[in-house]
Amino acid sequence: MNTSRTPSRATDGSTDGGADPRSARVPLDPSGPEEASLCRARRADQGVGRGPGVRPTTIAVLAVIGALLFAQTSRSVWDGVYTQEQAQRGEAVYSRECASCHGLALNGGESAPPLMGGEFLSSWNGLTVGDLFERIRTSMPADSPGKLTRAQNADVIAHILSVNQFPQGRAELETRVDALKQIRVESAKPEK
Amino acid sequence: MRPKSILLTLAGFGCLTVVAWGQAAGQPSTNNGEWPHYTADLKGTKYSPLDQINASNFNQLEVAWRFKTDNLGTRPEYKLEGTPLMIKGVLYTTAGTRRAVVALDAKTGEQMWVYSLREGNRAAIAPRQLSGRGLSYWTDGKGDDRVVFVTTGYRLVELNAHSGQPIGGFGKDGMVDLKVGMVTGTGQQIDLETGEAGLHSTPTVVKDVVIVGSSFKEGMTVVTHNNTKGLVRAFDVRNGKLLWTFNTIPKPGEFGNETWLNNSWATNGNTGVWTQITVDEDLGLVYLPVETPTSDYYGGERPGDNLFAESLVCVDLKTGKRKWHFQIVHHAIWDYDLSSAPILADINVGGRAIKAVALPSKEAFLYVFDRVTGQPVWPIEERPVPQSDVPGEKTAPTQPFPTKPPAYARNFMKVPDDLIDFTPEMRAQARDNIARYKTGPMFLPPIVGDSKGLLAAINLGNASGGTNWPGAAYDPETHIVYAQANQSAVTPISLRTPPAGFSDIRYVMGRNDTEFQVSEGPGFGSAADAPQRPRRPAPAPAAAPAAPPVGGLTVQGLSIIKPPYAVISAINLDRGDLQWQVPYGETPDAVRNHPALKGMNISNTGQPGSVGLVVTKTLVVLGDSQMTSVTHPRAAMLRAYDKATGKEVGAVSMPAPQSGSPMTYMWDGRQYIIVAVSGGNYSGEYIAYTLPRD
Repeated sequence: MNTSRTPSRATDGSTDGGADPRSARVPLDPSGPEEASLCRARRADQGVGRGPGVRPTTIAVLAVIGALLFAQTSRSVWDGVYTQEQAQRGEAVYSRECASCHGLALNGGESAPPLMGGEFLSSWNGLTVGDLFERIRTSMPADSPGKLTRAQNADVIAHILSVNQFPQGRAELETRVDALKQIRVESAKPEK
Repeated sequence: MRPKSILLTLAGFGCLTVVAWGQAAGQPSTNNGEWPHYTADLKGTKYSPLDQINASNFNQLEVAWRFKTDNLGTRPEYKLEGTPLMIKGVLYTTAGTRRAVVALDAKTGEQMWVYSLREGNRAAIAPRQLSGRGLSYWTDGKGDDRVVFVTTGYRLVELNAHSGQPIGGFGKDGMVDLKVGMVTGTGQQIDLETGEAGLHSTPTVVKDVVIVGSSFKEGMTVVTHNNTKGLVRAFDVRNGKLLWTFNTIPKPGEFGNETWLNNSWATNGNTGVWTQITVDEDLGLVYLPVETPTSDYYGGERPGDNLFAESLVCVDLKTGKRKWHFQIVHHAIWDYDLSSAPILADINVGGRAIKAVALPSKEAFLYVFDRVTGQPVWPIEERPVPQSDVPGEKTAPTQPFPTKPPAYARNFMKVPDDLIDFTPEMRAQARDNIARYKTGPMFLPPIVGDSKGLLAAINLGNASGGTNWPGAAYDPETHIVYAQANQSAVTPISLRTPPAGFSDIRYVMGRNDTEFQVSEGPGFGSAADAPQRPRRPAPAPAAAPAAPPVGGLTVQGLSIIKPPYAVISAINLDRGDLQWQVPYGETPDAVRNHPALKGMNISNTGQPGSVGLVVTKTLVVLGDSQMTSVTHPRAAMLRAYDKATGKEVGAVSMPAPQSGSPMTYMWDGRQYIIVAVSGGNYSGEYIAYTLPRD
């Protein structure tokens, strides 16, 4: 659970808009791979630098890095973040461990909310796959939290994304929270 | 004290008594700015006369304090449903996965004391888990002040309201084991650890009596029809001594036993009272809203009308003897239960003063009776209903339909009129999808579904629709009931034979051509000690040929039923009509941002869900059940509606949906509104809102 991601202005009772939390929702994690590569790039650049001025090649390198970073941090569930095979594995785990409360069709029940459709997406829209991963990891299955491996949790999320008709891709969902927190849950497909 | 002083004191005392509108001396009251019962008062009104927070300033509300409940148990809770009490500047409520009791400073939220009981496996396998709906309070008016609650493991506990310590003279060491006296069959005591019984509503404390109901696991996939039998019991609040028991499944010789044909009273259970019980203290009458018997969707093991299942029962406060009853559903097989606290209302119909009781319901009917005699205030007609073709099942030929007030929400799916119609393509898809299901009027019986034929019978409002456990509210000054109701809970019911060795009942919920799934109760397996619970024996693999994919009950990701998805209604009890009705909440993002609806001007659809509300001098206040991003990025709104018109007059954001019924109080010159929020990635939290000082 990550309550710090909720914008303070949205929780303090004020009724004006406040900052869009999505701009703060995907901060570079200092321990994440992107920040590390950025540091390495800067060191390399400094190594060949000739003073305080900034050369065009430096600008170009930084622009490329920036573009890559944007591409990384702007990923969403619409970008093919899981594979079909992973979703199939997740379906098997889900049927065994989750369906008795959330329903085989993920449509929920009296004891648990749906994991598909508008109600589910409204709960998670604007958060990240990492938030969902942590929610599952720390509290599910309800009768035995922590029972599933990290890989199984990721597989279950792949199944959930599949049922919610987010596109599959070529790479599987990772199991590191830092990486998963770079993937936003967006209920509506972003306009290109 | 000199005689004159005594007289002055008595005179002042008398004035206080008058101000408190009949409240006994020293007793807390909403008229003092307090909130002394789960439903504000014993009459179930959820009404407070406070008006510092009103339409002119609701938008200015700010968070006064928060109370996070994560550490009151071994894990956070994501389904916090409590409503605190406030008495003399102290809030009392339950919280956390161990259902701890906390006392909080009403002004700051500072924790003053906490109590919890480690019940081990008894709590881990309890049918009603998590923090529950709250607790109750008793005072003798002279300083003996007690908090009364039911643990996850079904023990009645009394605590010193000042210290949080158990009351030594109550039961044994401050508690009464409520499983003692719970039976199966013809009277077999259930096991005190593993026997199935629990409760998450609050006890009802009236005068020196504590009244306690009972509840069980979900009845959709039961392991036996011979489940624990429901009971309602009253105890002496001072010492825990049992005063009376009301058998909701009557024994031989008791009224109604003959409605269980073939001696089936002896082999069936459930029929508890899991929601709030209300009381007319002056008349000495108690109103019991009784639930469904075993099982929810199949009654072939219990032919007959099955009193007092799904009945409103009035019993004597002193003796527990039945005064009158009205069965809302005969031979219940839809899981309608009786979900809501009966509301006691003194109304005036055609110039005639009536002491009434109004029962909100999952059916979205408000059943209104003279609460002294049990006679319907407006005629309730027995009308023919569809009959079951499930082997062994014999449905009742008629069911009761109130003639007034009209249904305050949609309570069956009319095809095609009620199908989604944002676009012609959506309507066409909905018609194709719904053709795979049996549809019809209210009380459409379950069917044995089959992927080669009809999949299930569609009902609305039975399992989780209409007005559910949060109940409704009532303004005693204007005689208006305010009810939120979900009218998009499309419930497909199909029956199947249980896997070999799983159950002794002939049918459970499911389809024979799909994998069998056990349906657990609310929060089941989530109690603090839940990992200790033994698993049920794994059912034998069912012969489950892969069913071909079929159209579901959604269309392009949206509900197959058209909006409004839920409504708020004002129901005038003097006239028996709807004064106003508005959509509940606002359009979900899933509709607002749907690509197929781009550019369309869609009026407020409301949002699905069942939530509680509070009524003040001028406002109806309740919160959203979903997060939206219309006015705030990721927020659910706590909204205020003008009581007279239903117009929304203010809203303030919450970090998660409302999950408990709100309450309000006044302390140290300031009015507060408290609401429990949780859901999604947000764990349980009580939030207190108040107006800025400047």
